[in-house]
Amino acid sequence: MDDELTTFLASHGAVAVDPAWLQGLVEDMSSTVVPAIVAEIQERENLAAELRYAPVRRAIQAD
Amino acid sequence: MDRCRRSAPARALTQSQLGSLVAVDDNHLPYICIDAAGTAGYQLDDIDAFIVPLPDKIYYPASAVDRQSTLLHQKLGTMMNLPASGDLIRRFYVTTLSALRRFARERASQLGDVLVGAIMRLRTSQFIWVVEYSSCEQWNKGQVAARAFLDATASPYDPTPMWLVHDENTAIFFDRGSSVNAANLVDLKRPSGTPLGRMEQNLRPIVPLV
Repeated sequence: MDDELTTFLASHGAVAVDPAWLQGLVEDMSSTVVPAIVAEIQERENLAAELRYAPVRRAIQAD
Repeated sequence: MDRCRRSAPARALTQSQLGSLVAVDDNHLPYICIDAAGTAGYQLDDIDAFIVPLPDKIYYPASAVDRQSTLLHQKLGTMMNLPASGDLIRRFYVTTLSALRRFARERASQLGDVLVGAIMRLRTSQFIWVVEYSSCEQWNKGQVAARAFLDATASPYDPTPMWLVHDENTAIFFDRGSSVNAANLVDLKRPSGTPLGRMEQNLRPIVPLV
């Protein structure tokens, strides 16, 4: 955090967040959310690669 | 948008509150209004996905914000005054730091000196994801219970991409410049009984060419 903001917050009585809560947040995010996000991105990249090299089909309108 | 629908699922996104969309459809030029009743020939439920081009520097995808904001709501339950899961509406959008500062300046009396002063001193990336948490009642009044500001340039591997989270009373500032996890909690000392208003316009409107 930059000094100007730190000084400003300290002048308004800011206190450190409970380390146990913060650690729990980081652990939960790391163990559940981040792997799910990364897996989803990988899935989309795989789909994009599949579509990129798939033969192009154009809809032909039947009159 | 419609009034808050009572049948909205737990932790609903604001898309569940959509009444209709104005779309450009090649078969119905120039515009078409797509609603839930299907008066246009197809309806909102028929849309599975759409593509939104984002600026180059936004690395944190919207789907990540969706997942991240859900867990963040659970974790903040002990720290902040948030709506319960069954009465929660989440809205997230991307904005710029300058738009956020303009919003803070315009709503200075509502946000209070501490929050406005901190936002003006916050050194963030140019693009920011904003997550707004509201109850149904607050949604109908254009109010929010809490907001989270996320670094839109963060890596998807980052477990804490937040700059700041605040509700009506307190704010948590995450130290993204530190190698160790650290955050500060501050009392916002806002005017009592003043609700937080929704940020209606996240980006500058397009000015039509004359």
